[in-house]
Amino acid sequence: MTVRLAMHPYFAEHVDGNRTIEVQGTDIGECLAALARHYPAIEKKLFAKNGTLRGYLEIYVNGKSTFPKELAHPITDGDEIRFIVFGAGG
Amino acid sequence: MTKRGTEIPLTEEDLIRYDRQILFPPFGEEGQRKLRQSHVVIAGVGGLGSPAAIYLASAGIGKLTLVDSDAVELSNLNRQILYGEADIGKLKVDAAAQRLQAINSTVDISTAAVVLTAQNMTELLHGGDVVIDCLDTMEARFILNEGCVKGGIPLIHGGIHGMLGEITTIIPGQTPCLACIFPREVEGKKPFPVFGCTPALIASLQVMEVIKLLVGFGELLVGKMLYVNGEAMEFVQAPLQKNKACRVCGEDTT
Repeated sequence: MTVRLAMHPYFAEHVDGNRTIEVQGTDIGECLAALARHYPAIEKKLFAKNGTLRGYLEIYVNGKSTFPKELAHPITDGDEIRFIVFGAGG
Repeated sequence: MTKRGTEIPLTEEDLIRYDRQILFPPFGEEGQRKLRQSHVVIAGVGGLGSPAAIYLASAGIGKLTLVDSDAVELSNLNRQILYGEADIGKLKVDAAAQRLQAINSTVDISTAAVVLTAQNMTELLHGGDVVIDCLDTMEARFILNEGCVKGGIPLIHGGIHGMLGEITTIIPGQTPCLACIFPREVEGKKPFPVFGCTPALIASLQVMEVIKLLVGFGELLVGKMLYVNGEAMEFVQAPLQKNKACRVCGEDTT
């Protein structure tokens, strides 16, 4: 399956400034792994040391939340994966 | 939203002072009266809280409650526009109150130089028609979110990082709350990069939401997060969903 990752600007410096990136996978976990193979610096931004998603982000597919089993969430051809990021500064 | 007692008529001075906003048809004199009778709690008077407080005071809000335990530091001055060099070392809420009273002496300002906690939240938010989230840590924001949800008080969330900003309006019982949006464990505070113009922009949007909410016109930014990317000059809205199992507003918590 080919899906479109809408990259949050918070991650821009780690993906060469690309706004959207196409990756392949059958679930979100595979898609993010494919992303990290192309852009290794993003892995630490997405995942904690234990491999879970970081607390400051959440993942939506086609506008729908994928919580609580984000990484196992299946995707289909043409889906759009979007990151919701918590910018906590004030 | 206007629950602060009997209606106070606008004076001749009010009609002159607020003329430019009264001219806006959806607002008018009735909108000005509603602002006069409204109470806004500003949680955090730093980068976001400074312009939020200034614009609300300038617009003629009835009452502001300022909550912040910090003192002014030199590194605040690139963005926290309520303060100047002479304020370094002073409690932010004291310096802010003084400045805001100089801007508009008709605003009733109360201050609390305390850290928001689950224990003091009810007292601090008491009487507030709306709360503006101008805090600077995820932990504090979640505590505030829970207090607002439990108290049934609308919360205007704003956050910043560098030239990025975000905003969403949370109406308890109707929209996703902050814990719906970010259901995972949060991490500790780290210094964040920021230009003064970023919180100025986001705080201005927060105040727009407050005015619309209090007066009752326009469309609120509910059920979606607006992300502002100053580097690319992009404004993107992302839909948000309520979480039925939310630890704060989920079905099991009611």
